[in-house]
Amino acid sequence: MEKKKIGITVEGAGVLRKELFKHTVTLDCDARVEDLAKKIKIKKGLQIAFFRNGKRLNRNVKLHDGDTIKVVPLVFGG
Amino acid sequence: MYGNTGKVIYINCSTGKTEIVSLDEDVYKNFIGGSGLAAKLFWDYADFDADPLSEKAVLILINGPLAGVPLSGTSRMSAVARSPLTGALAESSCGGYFPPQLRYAGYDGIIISGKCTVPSIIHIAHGSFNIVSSEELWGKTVGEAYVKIKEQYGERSRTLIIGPAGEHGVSYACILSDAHHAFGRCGLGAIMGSKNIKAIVIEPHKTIMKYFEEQKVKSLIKELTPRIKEYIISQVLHEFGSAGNLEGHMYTGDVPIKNWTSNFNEEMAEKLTGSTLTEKYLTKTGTCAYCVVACKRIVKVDEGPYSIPEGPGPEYETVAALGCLLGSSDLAAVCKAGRLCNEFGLDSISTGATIAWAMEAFEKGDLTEKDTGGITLRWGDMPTVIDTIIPSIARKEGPLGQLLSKGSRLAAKSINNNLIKYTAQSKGLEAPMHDPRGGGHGHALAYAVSPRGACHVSTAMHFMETGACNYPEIGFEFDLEALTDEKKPETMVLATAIGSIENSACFCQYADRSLTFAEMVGILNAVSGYHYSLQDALDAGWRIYHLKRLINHRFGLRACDDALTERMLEPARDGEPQGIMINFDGMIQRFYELMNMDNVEGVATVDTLHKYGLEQEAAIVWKKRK
Ligand code: SF4
Repeated sequence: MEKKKIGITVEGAGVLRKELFKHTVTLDCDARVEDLAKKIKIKKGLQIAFFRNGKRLNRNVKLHDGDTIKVVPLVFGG
Repeated sequence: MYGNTGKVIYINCSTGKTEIVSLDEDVYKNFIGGSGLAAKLFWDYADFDADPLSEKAVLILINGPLAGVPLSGTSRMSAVARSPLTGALAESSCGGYFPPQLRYAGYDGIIISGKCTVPSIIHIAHGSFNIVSSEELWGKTVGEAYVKIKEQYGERSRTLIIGPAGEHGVSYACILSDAHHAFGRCGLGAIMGSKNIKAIVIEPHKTIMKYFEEQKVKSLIKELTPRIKEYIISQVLHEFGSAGNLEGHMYTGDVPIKNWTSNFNEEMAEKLTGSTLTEKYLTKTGTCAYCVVACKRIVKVDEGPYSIPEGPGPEYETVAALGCLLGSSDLAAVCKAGRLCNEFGLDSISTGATIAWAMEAFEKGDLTEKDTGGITLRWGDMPTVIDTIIPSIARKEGPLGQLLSKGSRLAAKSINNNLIKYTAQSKGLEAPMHDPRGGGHGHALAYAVSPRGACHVSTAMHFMETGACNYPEIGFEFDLEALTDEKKPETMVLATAIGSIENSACFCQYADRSLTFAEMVGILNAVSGYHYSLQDALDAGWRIYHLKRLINHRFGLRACDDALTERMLEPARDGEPQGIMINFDGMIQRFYELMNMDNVEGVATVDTLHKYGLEQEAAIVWKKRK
């Protein structure tokens, strides 16, 4: 039987704002951050982090239907 | 001699005496060039009892050994003096187009002492140099003076200019190169102003460089240039400027907000980040000599109260210091405030940080209208910042201008010592816009032990801790966790050497990010013939670091000055790092042990100094101590 799906809103921050403009990604209902990371396409060499409600998520945190996840590039500098 | 010319201009502005100082190859090899060589010359030429703004003080500008080589991020120079802001060693680095011209003219640097009787410029043309009276330029903004100088000396002349802030001796006045690039920090503009020097002008010279290994240099340039250009960080810098990741920094808690009382503000993240700057106000990009990254911003704000004509735009530090730190998310206002700092010749970091300190002190009732001359200070009140506060600081006008022109530490002390608690500085230098509580705990250590005060570029910790570089060839393969003290003192030991090398060889810390350590040393050897092994290069880095600390010791600084303020070490109140403590004491203690530094005197032990060939310097400092 096919798994139930959840919808996650993904927003790219900073230099990813253009590349990952606010959009919805559909994942399996037991999806974790890691699964989201695999689904989105990021420029090679760019390290990223995921945030929910301003808090950083590690890769095995479970996602919920309706979550908004910020994808933040970890570029040094300035 | 290769790369370097071996000649430095010496000018005594009081007597008019000028001469060419010839330097031995060994001095270059021991101190690399740039900030290392400038520190060595400072040791030799400075009067350690002189007030920073007195006639006896010296200002030293030295090129990196690679200045003039057509490779991205290598045509830079460093300036060194005693800082009027901190009383410690001042140093600052600048790119632009002046350094290669100085090299092509046949010189590696300029030592300036004394004071001209009337406002003057130093003019370098056809390999010779002299002091020319220029009273008509005094009082002009940087942009106005730049236009006049270009009219007189030609469109292709290159300039270092101070603004009204430097003329008035504001302790954090800066020096602008071609009205865009800056020797930003530590008040070097005030020192130039105290010598009655409005500008240093160099006319174009024929490109002549002698390399130790001609073919190798050419093939390295060919190999490295496309790599630098294609590197992801270079692309980000080109497209969005150094503020390109302000939004990302905000989420990690790296950006200090409202005088370091907050570490998270989503609105500021979105409205002030580099992509917003690019979308709304960027007209074109700018660059430094031979650099393919072109990270500089040229902006224009067409309408509204903050409209400004096309000209230099803000970098990350300026956006955060004049935006986030002051509680404003108005990017047009930030562009205008940044432009004003350029025109007046003010360091935007210290300007923003000092105003932010005053805003908080005013909010808490510790600073009153009596202290400000009736001016009300409010978070985010950019009209007052732009129309009143910045101009009054630059001209030291009124009680508020006079108070804030001292910088946050001295301003706080002059009102009430207790107000130091609202400052974010080390050794009196206002911290840059990376909050160690969110950006990485190693930053706290770096700010404290940096010889010039709170600084994220005098060592390489900022880049090492944020994963922007990895140097397995010298043992740096740490995968560092930002918000802990783990491995930070050990990293800091390497970071001091790498930072000294970067600032002395004068590599741009953006453009050289894709280079391995071996490649940096390789290009240095191929151009200058230093014959460094990787270990030799590291030793030169540590030698320079220890020398700078010896200089500070002679100015009265000790281990206890390697400190951060209460505000910087209290747990963050919100955002990603909320509540996390920094193990500052543990890190600094371990770093002192690893570096063999005396934990009272704040300098290396005699044996360590001898190991780096600093016998004479050690004898002076340690003998004085006894
Ligand atoms: S990366 Fe930017 S600051 Fe560095 S040399 Fe290039 S243009 Fe100048």
